[in-house]
Amino acid sequence: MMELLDPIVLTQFAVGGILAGALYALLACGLNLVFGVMKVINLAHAELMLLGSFLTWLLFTTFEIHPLVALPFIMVVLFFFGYGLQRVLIERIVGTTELSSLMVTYGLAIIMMNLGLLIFSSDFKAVPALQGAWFLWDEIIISIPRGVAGIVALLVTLSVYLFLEKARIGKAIRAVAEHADVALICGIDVVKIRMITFGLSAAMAGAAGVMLSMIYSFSPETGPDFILKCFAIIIIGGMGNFAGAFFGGLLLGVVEAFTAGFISTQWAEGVAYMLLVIILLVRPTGLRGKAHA
Amino acid sequence: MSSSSEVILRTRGLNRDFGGVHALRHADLDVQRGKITGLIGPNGSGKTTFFQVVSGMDQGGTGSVLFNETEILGKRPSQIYKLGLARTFQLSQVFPAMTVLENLIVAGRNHDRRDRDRAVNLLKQVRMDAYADVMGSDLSYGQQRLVEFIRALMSEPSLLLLDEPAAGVNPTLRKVLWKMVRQMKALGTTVLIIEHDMHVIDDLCDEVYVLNEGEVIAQGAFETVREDRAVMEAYFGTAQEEN
Repeated sequence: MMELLDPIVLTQFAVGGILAGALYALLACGLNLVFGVMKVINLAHAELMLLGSFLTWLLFTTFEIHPLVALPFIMVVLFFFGYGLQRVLIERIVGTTELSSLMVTYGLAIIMMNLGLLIFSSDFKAVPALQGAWFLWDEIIISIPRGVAGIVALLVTLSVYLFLEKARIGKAIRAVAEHADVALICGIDVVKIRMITFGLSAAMAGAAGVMLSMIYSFSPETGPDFILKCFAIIIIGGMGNFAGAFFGGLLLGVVEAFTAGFISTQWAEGVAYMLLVIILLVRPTGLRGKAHA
Repeated sequence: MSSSSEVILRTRGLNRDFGGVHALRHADLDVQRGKITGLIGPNGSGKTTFFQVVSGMDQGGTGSVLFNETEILGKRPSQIYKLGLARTFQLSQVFPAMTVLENLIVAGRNHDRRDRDRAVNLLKQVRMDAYADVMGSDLSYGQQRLVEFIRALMSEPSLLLLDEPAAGVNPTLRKVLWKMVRQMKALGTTVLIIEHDMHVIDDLCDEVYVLNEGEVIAQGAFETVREDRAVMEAYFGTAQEEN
């Protein structure tokens, strides 16, 4: 037990946790973005991520295109897929009850998963494009795939955050998230902004899928594990709050890493939900959420 | 009847029903270009509904709404805004998690540096330039109303619909607000204003329309309208006896 309290070991857990958490954060921020702007809970978000994973696998196995090279292309494909999906399907449930959005997106998730099973079968796939390990200060070891995935996930999330803060369309997205009616009288085309938002969320899911493919094996049935953790993260961070989802993702990654190190990896799988219960007891609105009357 | 070039907004046979309730009934209004027109009436008379339908926020209206001789009934609010019609809400509606400057820039129409410059200029005019980086949620209610008002000016509208802009605003900020409204008129902006304070209506407006139960019951100069029997009945229940 004492060797676990060695600063080197603790730093190893923390760095590994942050890198894993960065992937959670990327995925959860996309999910929270859609919820924040249109109050739609997208249960098909993990399937969008897997679409990114399978596209990566196809490009890698068929054309030997490296996942990092494929990343921008896959994000663009997923953006337009999400943009179109919003136009033909999701827009119809904006403003309806949460139950409607759950039903529709759950149906979409089932369709996407079964299409995946038909096309790719239930066999697990992997994209072993990166191998090896980095050594920090000669003692802290980071596997290159996890390190690259974590760093890229952080960069993508940060880029989207800056886009929301600085770009004109980003400000319009925030305006629609805060007050759709007021955004309308500010000349903002709210329907178009919602399409862009869903496209952006899908592109983030696609990027997470590319990173996932390099560090995990995956099948069309992998989605539910991730979507449940994502829900835990956005509730922990604060529903609809982009920064909250980011910090919630990092927190979960770190807590999982320490739990796996100090207790066991089986416990690490359930720690998201324990963390969820604790946060809800201490701060029901989540870390960065605000109470609404 | 005024010629169409003098009229910036013309509604004809404008109706809006909510189930069995007629919120607007054949509401015919002509808003004169370059003037300040008041829209008054008792509570529930359809004033805000009129704004909702004209600005495209409520898509359930029937009839005709001509803005600069273009039919705008059925157009989306963002399209109407781009045609040059801006509005404010009855209750203050700023974006709480955005700075004051962002609140303004988001309503700009140029999408470049000119929007920022205009926003800064407008903030100076209402003496709020020191608040540019303050979050919307951290403003007092009166300041929020001022921000909402100047946000409506960001697009340099030719017609401005103001829905009780001074409600809840302290007397000092009110003076700033009314001064700005007069300035807008001087610069050629047409204003249609809903206001319950009859002194303000008397002081500001060139013409007044009175709505009751969704119908226009009187129109003209304030001095004329306030003597109108139908108006007095709408406000007081019965016409006041002349002494």
